[in-house]
Amino acid sequence: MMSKRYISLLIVTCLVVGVAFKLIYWNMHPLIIWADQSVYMAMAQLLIAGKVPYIDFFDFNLPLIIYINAFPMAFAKILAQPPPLMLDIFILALLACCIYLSHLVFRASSSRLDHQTRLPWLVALIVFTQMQIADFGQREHFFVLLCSPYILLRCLYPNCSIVRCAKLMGVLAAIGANIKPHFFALLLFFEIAAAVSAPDGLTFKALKTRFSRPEVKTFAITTAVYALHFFLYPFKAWQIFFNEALPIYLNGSGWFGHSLIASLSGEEDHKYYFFALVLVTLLALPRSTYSRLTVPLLAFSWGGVIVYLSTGGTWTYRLLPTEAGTLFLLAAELGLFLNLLRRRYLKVWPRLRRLGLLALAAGTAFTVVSQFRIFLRECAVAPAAPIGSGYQYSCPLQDFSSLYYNILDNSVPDDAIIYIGGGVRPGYPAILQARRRPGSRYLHGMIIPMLRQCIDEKNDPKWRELLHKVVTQYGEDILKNRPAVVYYQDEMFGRPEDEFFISHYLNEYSHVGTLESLNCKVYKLRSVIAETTRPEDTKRDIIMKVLLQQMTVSQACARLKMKPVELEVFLRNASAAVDRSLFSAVGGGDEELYVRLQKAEEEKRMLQKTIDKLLKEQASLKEKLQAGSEKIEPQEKQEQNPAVKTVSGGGK
Amino acid sequence: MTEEPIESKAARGSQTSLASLLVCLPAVPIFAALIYDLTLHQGNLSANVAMQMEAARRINSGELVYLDFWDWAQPLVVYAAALPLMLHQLLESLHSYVRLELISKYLNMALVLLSFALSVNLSKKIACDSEEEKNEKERERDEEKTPNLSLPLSLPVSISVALAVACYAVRFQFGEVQTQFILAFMPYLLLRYIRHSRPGLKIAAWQAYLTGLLAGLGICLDVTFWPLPLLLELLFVLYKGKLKPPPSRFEFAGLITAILIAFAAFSSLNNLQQAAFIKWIMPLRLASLMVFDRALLPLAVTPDRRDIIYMLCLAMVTGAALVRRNLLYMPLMAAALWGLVIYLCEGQGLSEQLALCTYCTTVILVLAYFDLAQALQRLTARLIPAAKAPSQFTFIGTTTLLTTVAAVTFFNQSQYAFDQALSVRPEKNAIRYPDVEQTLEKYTKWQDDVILISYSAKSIYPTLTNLERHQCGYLLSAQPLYLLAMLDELGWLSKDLKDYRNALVQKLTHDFTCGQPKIILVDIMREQETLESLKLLEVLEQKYDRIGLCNYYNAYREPREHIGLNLPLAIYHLKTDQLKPEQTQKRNPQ
Repeated sequence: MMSKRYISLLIVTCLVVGVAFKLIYWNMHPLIIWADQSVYMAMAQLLIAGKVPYIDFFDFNLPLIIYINAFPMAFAKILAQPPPLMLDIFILALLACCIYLSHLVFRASSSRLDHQTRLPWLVALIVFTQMQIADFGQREHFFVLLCSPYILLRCLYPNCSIVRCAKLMGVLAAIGANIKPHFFALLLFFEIAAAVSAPDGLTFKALKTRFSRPEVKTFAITTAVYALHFFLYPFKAWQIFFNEALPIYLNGSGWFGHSLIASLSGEEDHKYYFFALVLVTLLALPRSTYSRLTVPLLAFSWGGVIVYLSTGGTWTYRLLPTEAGTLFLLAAELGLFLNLLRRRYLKVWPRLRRLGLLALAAGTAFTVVSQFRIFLRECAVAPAAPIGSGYQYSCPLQDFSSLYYNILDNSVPDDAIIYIGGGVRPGYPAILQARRRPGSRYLHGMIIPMLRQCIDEKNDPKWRELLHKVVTQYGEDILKNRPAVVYYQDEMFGRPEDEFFISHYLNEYSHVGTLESLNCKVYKLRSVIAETTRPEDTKRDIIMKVLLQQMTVSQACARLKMKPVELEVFLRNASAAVDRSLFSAVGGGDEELYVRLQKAEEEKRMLQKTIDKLLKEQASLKEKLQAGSEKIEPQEKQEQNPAVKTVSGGGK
Repeated sequence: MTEEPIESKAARGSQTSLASLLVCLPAVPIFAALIYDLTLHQGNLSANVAMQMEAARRINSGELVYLDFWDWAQPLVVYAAALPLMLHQLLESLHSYVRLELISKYLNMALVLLSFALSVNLSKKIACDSEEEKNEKERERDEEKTPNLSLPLSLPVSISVALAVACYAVRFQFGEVQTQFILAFMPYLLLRYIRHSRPGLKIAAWQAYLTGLLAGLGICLDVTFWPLPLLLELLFVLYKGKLKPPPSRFEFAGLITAILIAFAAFSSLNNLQQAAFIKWIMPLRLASLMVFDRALLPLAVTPDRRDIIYMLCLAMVTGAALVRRNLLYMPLMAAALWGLVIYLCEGQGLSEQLALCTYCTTVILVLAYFDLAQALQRLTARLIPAAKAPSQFTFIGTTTLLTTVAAVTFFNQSQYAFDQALSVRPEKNAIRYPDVEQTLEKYTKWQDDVILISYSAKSIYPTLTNLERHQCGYLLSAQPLYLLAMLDELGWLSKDLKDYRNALVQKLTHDFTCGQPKIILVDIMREQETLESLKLLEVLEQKYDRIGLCNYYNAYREPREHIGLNLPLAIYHLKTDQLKPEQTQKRNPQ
């Protein structure tokens, strides 16, 4: 017979394994990181170096996410570890902390139902985090993790009068909610729903008790401190934020927008998020009166949908609150089900519980093993190579984009690099992964297409002035920081700014090549060209040449002093890695295909315009011809008819 | 046991009639505005309704659906669409000339009123049952307030207002399949709510049967509606925790009758039609629910109905909070959610595909408004004991005033929508292609045959209906053309669908070579490319010259929605040497 101690040990072991097993994955991919997360890590690096947000580096977001990323960045500097790996470990540590805090809330509750909900809730929290790959470490991810203990406490509160660390939960929730303004709004919506559906009713006394709890107080204090800290910023930062960043974001974010139906069901997995939400809502309805979690979590999930749609894009990370809400709702329903089982089968409940725990242990083991096999398979397809950025790690080749390799080829660690393109990637994460510095206050070029959108749509010269200012600032940064390489996506600024930029600011740079897949020209500082030329006969170069049929296998073997059988292995792995990168590589390897597709669509649009113009000309020519032939016809008829005599007398 | 005196019976009877009138009174302004709106705007029939009427005309002239022309509506829908035509012909024979489109609208309005009457009647029974549950003291207290009425009218009034407002919310989807479905299904939804929550409440057998029949006919309108009744039953089972269903003979008899009618409609087709329906039409319809057209990704290429989704989110939270007070929210929320699922599966973003969700969401929010107003009234009574609760007359009077204001607002919004829908962005006008209507008027005459090949039925109908030109040829709209191309790209074409594609090519070849239509308009966004890939463009160009372009101008909003890039349609005119004498163009004097 299992004692309580062993049961607790089993549960804790499963939870710890559930949290920690992903460390293996992140350790196998120590430099893998996605665009947004990498750019905020880079900004955190600048913050630690004493730079001021908005003045020394530009962004549209409020700075709290940069402060949060400063912690893993600081650890990375102290421990000389790759920043992406430190971010991953930081998030896993945060997850462990949230699990512990959630456990404290359940422990303080006097309700049996809450006790049955505990394990499903904690498992949901783990599943939510461990499911994330590309969105691991996104702002929404932080928001959910930081707010989850607070959300739980606010739902269960009448049953949990005194909870240890309630104040800490309020502080963490305030940090999460203030990352973006609409997180705050979502949490407010949740609070209203929780207050309305609370069992003690919507009386003045109940509301007063509810909102005078310690977690609410610390939430309010933390928010106030955060709001007040903005007064420490120089006035220039305020100006830039309110006069430039905010108006550009509000007016130009449509550039990245998609249609409503695309947001709901267009991208591959999107509609399944909504199907899951619908299913969980339907399951929650019949028993909603029995659980205090249902209505507030529905508010959180469906409120998340409002937030997602209001931003207009289809990025999956914006659905993370809804995803988390769905999982938590499922946990609540599972808790109700377990409680029902316990009440119906009270005598055999201990046995059932043991079976359930064994199933949990078996499920954890199975998940860990199967995930580990997937990790190994990924690495086998694209074998790991030393990173080349000075870290003592190796990383699967597919974790890097072509830009990363180009940066390595054309610069050395700590060189400044500028990537001028319409999005965050591929500039970031490549620059961070390659351990280079940002060479401009604009770490990403999202501002450019947004400004161009404003110019196209709004009849206000200020947008054109702002674009010119951005171009000038890029130029000033180039002259001041002298980046080793400037990557410039073709016609990014549009005419005449393109010509102005190249002629004024790239005089000391040579156009050394073009990254076709990114439609991007490479400008290298003349003084560094000789320093960074790599020897041609590296193994990687030779293998690429064989794949491109620029060299035979025997020639390659001779150069590398290798047997053909050995070389075949490298060739096979490299070819498989290329194939994989065109489909679903973890490191964003399908970005090149996507960019090519965009380029093709743009070309199609341009061609269509030309065709329309030609057709219009053709139509008008036809009309002229017809009009001309009608004039001639009556004349011809008259000439043919001898009875008709013309008055004009001119004749042919 | 003494019998109730006749005078008391008569008095009760008159009270009940008065109560029925009063319950419907608040809805009257909204329905009046709706009828006036529908009658005022001629020519704004919903696209699919117009397309079904065109299908009905062709069946009437002897053509076989699914064989001679494509339609993926269920056989029941095809036959139901013939009703307006039959009525129109009957009235014509009686020398009464009513526009076909007006007859269609009035028939749909009749469905609205039938659904409304059944639903309100059921809600009155709920109110009666609630009244009898109250204890004697409470009844006495109520009688002091309302000496002439014995029924609490708040629930039936709120339902009548909710249903009326919901009808106006789907004003531009009038006659569409989803709208017809929810109108037919709503009384059934209420009836099932009554059966599960108030099993003792007696419903007249004829009413239960009629409700079941209407719901069954609604369910048979499309495959996407079939799961909803099962979903509702499942929810009620989960709610009660019991598998045993309540007694429901009569409505299930009605459902079965409807299924038999639908089956009879299917059986009336000949073998070839049945085979075409099973092997080609249904698989294509089901496939359309599983694919997404990536050309609809960019912003502003589909209608933006974020407003409905936001309302749905609010309705979900509000409904969940209020479900403990009123279980009716549960089936309504389930229907709204199912409507969302259908919208996601259809994947085109059109408002008609969101009609079920829109309707149910509106009902939830209006009911929630009344519930919250009552809660506020109770709170006020608690805080200010001197404040009297309003009488039933005051309640109905105030509600009627509110609905009158609402009706005027809805009517104005509808007029605004008409204005906005025709306001096209200036850069689109810059090229100055003629409108589709202008082109058809220029090159064709009344009752002429034409072919418009466009994926979006909106650019074809109701333009053809209004101009009384006829869509000849196999394709009523080009959906199968595009879908087959997309399925081919995905590698999802089964053997039967490949056969269908070959059959489609043959039919289109015949259409392009028979010389019947003088004008063929082809959407250049995609249809032209698809025709080219099927080598049909060269067939078309053997007998037709491309003479220009025209455009379906719209602002991607009701009542003139569109999907995809709004690229023009190419105008193909029959070559002069191919023209038959009767096709020689007479210029339109206008």
